[in-house]
Amino acid sequence: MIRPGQIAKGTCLIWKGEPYMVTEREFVNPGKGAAFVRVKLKNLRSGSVLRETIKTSESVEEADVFDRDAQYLYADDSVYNFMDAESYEQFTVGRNGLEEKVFYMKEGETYRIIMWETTPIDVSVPLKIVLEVTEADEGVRGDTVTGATKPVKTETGLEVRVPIFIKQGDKILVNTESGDYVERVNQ
Amino acid sequence: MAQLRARVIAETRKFFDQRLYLEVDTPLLAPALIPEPHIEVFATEHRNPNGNADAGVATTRRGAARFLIPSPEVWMKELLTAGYGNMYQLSHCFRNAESTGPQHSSEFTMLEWYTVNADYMDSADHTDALLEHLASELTDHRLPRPAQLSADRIRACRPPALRLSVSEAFERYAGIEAGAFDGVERMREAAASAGLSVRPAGDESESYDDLFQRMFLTFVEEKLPADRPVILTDYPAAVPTLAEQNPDTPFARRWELYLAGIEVANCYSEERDPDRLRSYLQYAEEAKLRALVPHPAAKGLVAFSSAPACSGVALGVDRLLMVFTAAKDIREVIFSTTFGIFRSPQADRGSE
Repeated sequence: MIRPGQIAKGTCLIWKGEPYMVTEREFVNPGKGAAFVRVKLKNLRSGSVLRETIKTSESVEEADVFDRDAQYLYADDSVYNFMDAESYEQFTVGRNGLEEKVFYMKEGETYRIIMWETTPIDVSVPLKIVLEVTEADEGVRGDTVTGATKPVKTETGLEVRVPIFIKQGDKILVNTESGDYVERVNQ
Repeated sequence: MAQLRARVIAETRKFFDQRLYLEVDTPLLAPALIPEPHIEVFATEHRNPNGNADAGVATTRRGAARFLIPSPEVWMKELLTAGYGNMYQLSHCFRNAESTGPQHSSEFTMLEWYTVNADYMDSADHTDALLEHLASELTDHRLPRPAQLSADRIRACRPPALRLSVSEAFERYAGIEAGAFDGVERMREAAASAGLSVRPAGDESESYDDLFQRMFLTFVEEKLPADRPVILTDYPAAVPTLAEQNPDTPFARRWELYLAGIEVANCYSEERDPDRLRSYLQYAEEAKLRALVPHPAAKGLVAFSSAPACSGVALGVDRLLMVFTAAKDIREVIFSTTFGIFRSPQADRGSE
């Protein structure tokens, strides 16, 4: 059991007998009422989304999740194929629920996979990753109002606004939480 | 940000001074407080070198107990009882043990004002006037325009506020009918059919108050319009407060102001009935037995029954600044060396 005050984004809970992951969390102290945590929960089996508000003085059952390292192999129509780094067992993770994370998954790289019982439920991506720029217009005059940036496309399909000196083939560091350009990487 | 903060405070003073409200400046430390079951306080003590505790004041092992005020209400109500009439105060306030979040700081600045011979809807008019005053003064083109001011947000703060009762809001935004407010059983049925997890029928351990708050927070609050001020009126009287009850209805004469979706102020037609004041004190003192930081109750509250009829508003100044500047975190608008003075939003992205 955990206290609702410890609930964070990514916490997995058993709620009404079903496993859920917290996708949004906000503490509310109305002052005239008790303190609550307002959450959006994603069902780990069906992907359906539930909104709840839980009193922080209650307790909630935590889902027993663990992680394993696995290499990302390739994507099919609706699933991502991985191989366990130790047992070499192959398994898939559904596209449903990964959302923008797919832009931060590179074939051949190893990621932490979050497991609930025998079901892989989420992929954990590092806070910052290096991506290669695959499409960039040369000589675009930057939008001077926003500080001279232009949009480019990276190897994973992610579009990023970058400074105008970035060229096709450059490697750039991207923040996976905000999707923002951090810096050019020399390697 | 420092200049904008100063201007908002100066314009607020000008607004009330022009209307002949008395500015008061009451202590931040109090020996006893009006108990609020859902607010935790900071406790300290006054150490008297002669070893004598103050007469009639709770003592700790080392001295006379003192508490940092969670709002200046305890003092301002004494002044109202003493006949000082319309008054306002800009005061630092302290709340302990609140979950940290972008809209909460354990120390914050509150604007609190009381208007005598007025009720909560009169205060709603004054609030519209205050918002109009601030919006027009801050955008006065003869003065330098503060860089942080968000033009969209100032537009969204222009009165008149949309006035909507809580039961209308439940119906409009969540399709929950007014019958849900007729007692805990009906509220629980409404919560269950809206999809909240509730205790089985017959299990009375979840109060009407908690059920109402969960319904409001899950289905209504986030749907309130963000492009204009909203004054949400007539909360269920079953949520215990010091607001008067609207006779013959299950609702209390109180409202909360939402700006850009953020709760910024609340207002009561202040309860003066001596029996109801006493029963509130009794309820709140009992609830306070479970508090993390217990404190003595300000019994003088019962004397408020001899004060003139009045309406009081408490408005969070920092939250108002957050709204005006579209700041995402209250620490961006508060002077603080702990957080870095006027912390920039990028400073610790990802720490949440």
